[in-house]
Amino acid sequence: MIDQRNELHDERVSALYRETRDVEPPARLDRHILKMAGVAVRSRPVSPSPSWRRAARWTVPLALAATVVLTVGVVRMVRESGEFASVLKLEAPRPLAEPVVEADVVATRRAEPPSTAKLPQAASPAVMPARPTELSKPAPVIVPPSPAVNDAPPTSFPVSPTSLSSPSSAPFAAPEQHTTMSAERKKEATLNTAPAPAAAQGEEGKLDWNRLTDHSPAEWLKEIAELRRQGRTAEAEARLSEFRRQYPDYPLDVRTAPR
Amino acid sequence: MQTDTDADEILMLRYRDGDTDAFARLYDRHKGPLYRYLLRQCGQPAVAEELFQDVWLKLIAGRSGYAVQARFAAWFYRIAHNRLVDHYRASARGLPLSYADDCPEWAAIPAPKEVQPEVREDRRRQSERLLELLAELPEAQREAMLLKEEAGLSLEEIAQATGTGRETVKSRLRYALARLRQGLGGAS
Repeated sequence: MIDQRNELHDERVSALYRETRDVEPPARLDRHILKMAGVAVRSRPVSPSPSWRRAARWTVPLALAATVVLTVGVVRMVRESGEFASVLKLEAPRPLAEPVVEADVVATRRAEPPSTAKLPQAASPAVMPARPTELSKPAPVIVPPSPAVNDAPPTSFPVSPTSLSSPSSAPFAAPEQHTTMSAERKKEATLNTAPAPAAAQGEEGKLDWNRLTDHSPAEWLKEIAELRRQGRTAEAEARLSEFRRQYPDYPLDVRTAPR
Repeated sequence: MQTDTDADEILMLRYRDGDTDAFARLYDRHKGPLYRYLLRQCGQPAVAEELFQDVWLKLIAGRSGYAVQARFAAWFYRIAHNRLVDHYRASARGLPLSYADDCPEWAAIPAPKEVQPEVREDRRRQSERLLELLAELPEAQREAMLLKEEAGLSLEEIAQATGTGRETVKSRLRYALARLRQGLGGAS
């Protein structure tokens, strides 16, 4: 009979079909498949549990996120500590006044005799120009004052011997500049601008070198330079030692200082 | 009758966790319906055996990823259907037209032969006649009929297993039944 309530089902057809269900797969297939099922279980007995799979799903993104956070943190710390700052700031544009200073340095170098580099080393402690650790201390400078130097802006150099001894008023006004300037640039800057405060600040009434001694430091240093030029190095060294006793904090030029 | 611990899904989960006895019970329960489904769809015992073995081996290989998302039979016959379609595609004939969604259910189907009254009397011969009529059905209609009769799938589960819509399955079943009734001669 046809089931009128369900056009998709005919009980007579279903009953007839059930009588045809005597066909089965061959026994050899049964044995083979059951054997394969057992082999598969033995070859991989421990199946990963769902919780383990869940854990594996979030551990990889977590590890990646942790790596990114650590990397950013390390980079920030290194940048803040200034390791990269020197590289970065050397590439920064120079101030407009700098070419003038450099031109003066070239002129000063030309005026100096080549023998200054051969001065004896025993007379005074050597000035290591490129040591960042020593940058906080004032570097001794011996430079005869030149008119061109006075034109340079005395923006970042010491204003007095007393202030030179203070770490807070180190030769370069901004601490960052200590670390960013190369050794050569610092040397050049020191050469050209160290006497400038004497002149410039003398005008401002902040410093009077003549009050300290009969000879002004500039005259004294000029004298020493003249002795060196004449080849009287022993005498020059003696005068320099005396000068240092008198002006222990006076900035001496690297090139003119005894080595 | 299946109990909760005897359900297909539980047996499959137990097999996933390494219980080969669970697999044996599952196999014993489904081997006949699957084999007949494949045999009647492809018509050749040798091919049916090959497909049968492939389906079970696929199940074995995929056991670690098994999770209960639907009735086991629907999932299992989905594997079987896909393997069958692969077989059709690999054959010279290609995928039968009846699997196309836009194929009219009565298209290119020869009318069943007139049923002799004496045949109707003999139940055994009626069963044989039913199988003949079944073999004459378009593959898609026959598959829907077999999934209903052999696997006991509902309309939704047949649709899920064959990757078609519920209405398509309904239409295939309706036409298949009508044709079988007509061929058996007792439908009117």
